[in-house]
Amino acid sequence: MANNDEIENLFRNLPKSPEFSELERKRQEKLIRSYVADMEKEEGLKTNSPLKRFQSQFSLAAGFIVLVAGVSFASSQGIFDSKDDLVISMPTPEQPGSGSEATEGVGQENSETSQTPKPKKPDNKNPEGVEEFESGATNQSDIDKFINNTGLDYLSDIQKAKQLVKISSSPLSISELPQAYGKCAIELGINKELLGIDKGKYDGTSVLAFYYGSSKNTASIWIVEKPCVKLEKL
Amino acid sequence: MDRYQHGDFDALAELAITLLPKLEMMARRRFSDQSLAIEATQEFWIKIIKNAKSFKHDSKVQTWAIQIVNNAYLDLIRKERRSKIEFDELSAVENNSKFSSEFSEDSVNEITIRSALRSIPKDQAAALTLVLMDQFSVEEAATILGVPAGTVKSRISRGKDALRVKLEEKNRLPGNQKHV
Repeated sequence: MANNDEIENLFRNLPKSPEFSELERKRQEKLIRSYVADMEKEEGLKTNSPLKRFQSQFSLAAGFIVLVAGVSFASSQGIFDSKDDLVISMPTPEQPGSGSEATEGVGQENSETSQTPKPKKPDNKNPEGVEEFESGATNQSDIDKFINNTGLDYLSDIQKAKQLVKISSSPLSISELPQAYGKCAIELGINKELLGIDKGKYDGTSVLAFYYGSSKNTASIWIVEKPCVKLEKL
Repeated sequence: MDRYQHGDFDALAELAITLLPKLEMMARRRFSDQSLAIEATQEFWIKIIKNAKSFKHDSKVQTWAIQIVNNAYLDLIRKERRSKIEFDELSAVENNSKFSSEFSEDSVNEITIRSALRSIPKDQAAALTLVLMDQFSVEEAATILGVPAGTVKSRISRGKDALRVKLEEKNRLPGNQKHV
């Protein structure tokens, strides 16, 4: 029966490969520079793609429209007629229960109400106060669709799993997920870009595969063992 | 790393080059065959470059890099399963009269360890390789793995037990066979 020392010796006595030659080290450095340069080119192409340009132009246009609409609305409500020109409050009809506060804000000189009108930031709370992620957040029934159970082994059937697993095109709302999944997504640092989850295997072990990323096509996968032990990033 | 995360790709290349000696050392400890060590070194820096964006500044860059490298090694040997060396091949190595007895013994030990490592849970294999192969202290390994030292100790202990069973299954340990 082997004891601990023998196991340790087995590791310690492993033969090492000879040192790399200077030539090999230079080659590796060159490879690194060329790899990073390619990566930079690729990133450059991505950020200058027509789709990205369209998205940023669209965001600008949308922002401008919201600004104009906000100013018009404020104007039609007579807010600009207030005697105190420095104090302007934006009515917020979409916030239940906050209407009276907004009205009270007119004429008060505090830091919140003495701002110039600007487009309202997207509110990340729904009426119940549950956090959601931007406008793309999904609702509960949607979320169930994206919790898969393929049972496939991610070591051998990764391609098949990728084909079968349903993932969302927009980030899932962590608060709508089972608590353990949400907590794990936060631990993995992917809670703002989680697109789907699959229950599967990894080398025979039961695992969860967290699909995440900015889009379906570029989604990456974190394989974790319960409760949330990182195994591999694919 | 900060510079890269603000868009400076040259800084990323410099970082990977600075880490090269460490990566080479880790690869050489893991593969006695130089061509495999070179291949592994390349795989290691690719992983570091690919993961650089997700570095969260909650540890030192070198600590973070070692964790990535160790994971990359364990992934590499797991991928080897179907394509390269298996226990079954041990007999081929042993029976090959071309090898000197010393070479054969070293190779067999290396293949045996690698094969055993891929058959035990990855968290245990990670703790074992850092402490027994790279000679990090338990505390250092705990920092690298981002877990308490007690967890590392228990993973090592469970890992050794699992490894012992695997090794004995293959009849490769002292008392049973000539190796080690």
